[in-house]
Amino acid sequence: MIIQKSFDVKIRIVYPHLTKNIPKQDTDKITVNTLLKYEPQKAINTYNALEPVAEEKKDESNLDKLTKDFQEVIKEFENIEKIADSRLKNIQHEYDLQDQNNTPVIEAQEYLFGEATGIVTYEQYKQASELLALTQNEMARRAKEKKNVA
Amino acid sequence: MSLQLFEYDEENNQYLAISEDGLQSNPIQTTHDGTNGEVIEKKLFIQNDNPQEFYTNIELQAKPDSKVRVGDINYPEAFIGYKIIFKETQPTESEWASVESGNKEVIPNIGTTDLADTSYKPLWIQVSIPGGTKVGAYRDITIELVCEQNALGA
Repeated sequence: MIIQKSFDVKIRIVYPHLTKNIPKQDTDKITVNTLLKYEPQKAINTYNALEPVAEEKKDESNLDKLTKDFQEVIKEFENIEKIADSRLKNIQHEYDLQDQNNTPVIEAQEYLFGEATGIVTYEQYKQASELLALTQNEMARRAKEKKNVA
Repeated sequence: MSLQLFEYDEENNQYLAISEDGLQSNPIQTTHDGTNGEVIEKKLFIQNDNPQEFYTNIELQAKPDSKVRVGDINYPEAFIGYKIIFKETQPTESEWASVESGNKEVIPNIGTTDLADTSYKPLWIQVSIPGGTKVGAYRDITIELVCEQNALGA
């Protein structure tokens, strides 16, 4: 009697340099989420792997940790931004009110702040930038509305 | 009851049967470095668990019998290599080189018409993965066994 059998094979492909900092007990549970934790760019590149490296469920604790790490980084950037703002406050630009070449600056300062003083501070510059961004966003929003109505 | 493939679990001092037909409960598993590529050799065993039978014309072969293409965009011609050699001791480099990937390995008869042989007989597989292989798990290769089963005294 002819017998035919088919035995299962599984070949796992890993990137060891991504796992060098992963504790031994986790090395058999390497998932895309683990890659995200240790090598984000490479995880993105391997996202289209043939199939998940491991069959187990998503490791929620790794995602939580990653989220926390990102939040901490953002917080640090915000702190840096505050320090920069505090230092930049002392910077100001003086200009000649009598010089006709400065007419645009004079008019802008008058429109925005009620008076042209011959000195533009960093704070005023920031306010003007924010207003410009708001204005542009509003213009874009209205243009989109108009387009939708049409 | 028939011929079966096994791996040896040293930690627990026992033979573990390889799963079949896509069950994947205990496949022949190897893990490879996909960045640099890696060749892994593994020892398996074949055993007849039926004392009333003996086996002839035994062949083992990795299927598909042509190399499986696994290359990514940087390595478009990369292939998995899968070889089988029936041997007690680990084959040498030249012995591996002398067989092609997907080779059909002929196994000597297990048992005779007078006496069944239920001992575990060693064989070796070699799996080679090229550098630049994507992270993942391949389950579309199988080891096919074909043999003739004969009753003792036949």
